[in-house]
Amino acid sequence: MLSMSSFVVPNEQQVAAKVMDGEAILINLATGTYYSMPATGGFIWSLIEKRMSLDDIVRTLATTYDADQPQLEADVMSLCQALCNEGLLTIATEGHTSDTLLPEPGDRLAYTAPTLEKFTDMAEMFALDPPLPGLGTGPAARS
Amino acid sequence: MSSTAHDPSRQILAPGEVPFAGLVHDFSRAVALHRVHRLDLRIAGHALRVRTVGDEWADIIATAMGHLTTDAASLPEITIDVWDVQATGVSVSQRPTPDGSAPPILMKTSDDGLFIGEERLHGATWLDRSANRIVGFVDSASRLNLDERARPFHKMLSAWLEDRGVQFIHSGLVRHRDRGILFVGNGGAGKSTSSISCLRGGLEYLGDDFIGLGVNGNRFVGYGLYASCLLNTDHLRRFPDLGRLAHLPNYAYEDKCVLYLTEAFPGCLQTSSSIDAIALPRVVDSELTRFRPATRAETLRAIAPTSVMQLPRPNRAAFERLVELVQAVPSYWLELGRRVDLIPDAVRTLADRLEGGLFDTPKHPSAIPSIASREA
Repeated sequence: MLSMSSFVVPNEQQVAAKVMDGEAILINLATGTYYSMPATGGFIWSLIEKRMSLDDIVRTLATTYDADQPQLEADVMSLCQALCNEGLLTIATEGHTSDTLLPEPGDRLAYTAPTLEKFTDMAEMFALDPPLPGLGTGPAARS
Repeated sequence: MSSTAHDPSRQILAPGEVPFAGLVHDFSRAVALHRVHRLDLRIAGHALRVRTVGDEWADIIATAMGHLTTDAASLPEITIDVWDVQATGVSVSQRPTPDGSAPPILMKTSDDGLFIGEERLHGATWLDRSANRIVGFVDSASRLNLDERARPFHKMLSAWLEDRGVQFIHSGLVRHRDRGILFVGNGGAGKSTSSISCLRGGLEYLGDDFIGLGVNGNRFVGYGLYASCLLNTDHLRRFPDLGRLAHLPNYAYEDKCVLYLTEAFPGCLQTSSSIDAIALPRVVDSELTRFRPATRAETLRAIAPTSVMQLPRPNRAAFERLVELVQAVPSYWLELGRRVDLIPDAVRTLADRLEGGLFDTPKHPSAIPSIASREA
């Protein structure tokens, strides 16, 4: 059950991801579905990679963007829930606290709600030609 | 030899269920009865020997891969042994009962990861990764799917070469004045149109659909794999003169045809090139072809999912190598105009504008403005 005190981490068993130019590109290696999270979403993914709690993600966003706390909480919860539903996130029992990770307060940026764009165009190929079972570092990986 | 019949849709097999030894035994029966066609190749820098029993299948393999022919004295690093059941009369001694509900192409592996197989209703190939040997059969060469005719042993070679640091990527590749331009994107983006246009326009050609990606020193290198391309009706409309050379599919549901470029453009195929820029083709409503900078995120989205997910086993290391490639070379949108004869000029211009070697080029090519092909 996801709550604001939950620590969330990328689901390393089946996700490949990279934030480039502020946009997070994610592939669910188990399904072939891939995703884009530009702007705020890319920033949130970079915080998720630091094993933050949802509370700390919201606190970090609040120092970075010009947005109300309730809106940030709702948006972060909604996005993380969607990422969990897609198998891209897992809930961890522990993570990093914000004390050492919070950026210095400064001029805050204009806020746009994070979005998760989903691409399913590879599903048809997967149905006809599924890959080997099991995920790993390459063909040598044991299932 | 396979010990027991198994559920044909199951993808992970116990070692005793892997049919490799049985296929080797059956292949030796075919060799004893018929002529063996031997083909010595060098693919992505590795020596490969293909031994085929069955004239028609041997012809198909030679046509698709013959441009990679090398000195037969090279000791092969891997051997591929295959036979045509109908042509030889040598049946498969033990094979799973076909499962009509299974996907038409089913990848399998032994639970220790040493064997990888690709099974279809009409044939199968298995790779023994420790013995560096692939063995397989087809019921008849006339039942091969288009992808098997265009890209023989694609999955098995992809798995074997990945063990050796060469990753198959879903891309085309051409070269102009020692500058390799990689075309990336999903099916229909324009990779084949761009690659074939450039070949017709005099650029050096390595592939239109799949390329081997390797690293040589501090440079990314692309390897040509197959002398073939799959053409759809759009391609045939753009290149009507190639239609007479197209080979029709064996099945009504296959909506493409295969063109062997060695038949259309003999001697024009290259086997390796540095990768100096990435181009993202897309068809636009315009007369001319133009290029303009693309972001690294756009490029990663265009190359990574379609390349990683077509590997035998999608994996994070393959994704991360593509991240490194995208970070290392500049990227451009290649907006394809209606005048396909002008595409090569745009690509030449792009290649000419690249500065220095791979890692000397700017990460963000914003200094290079959009250029129309006719300006060249």
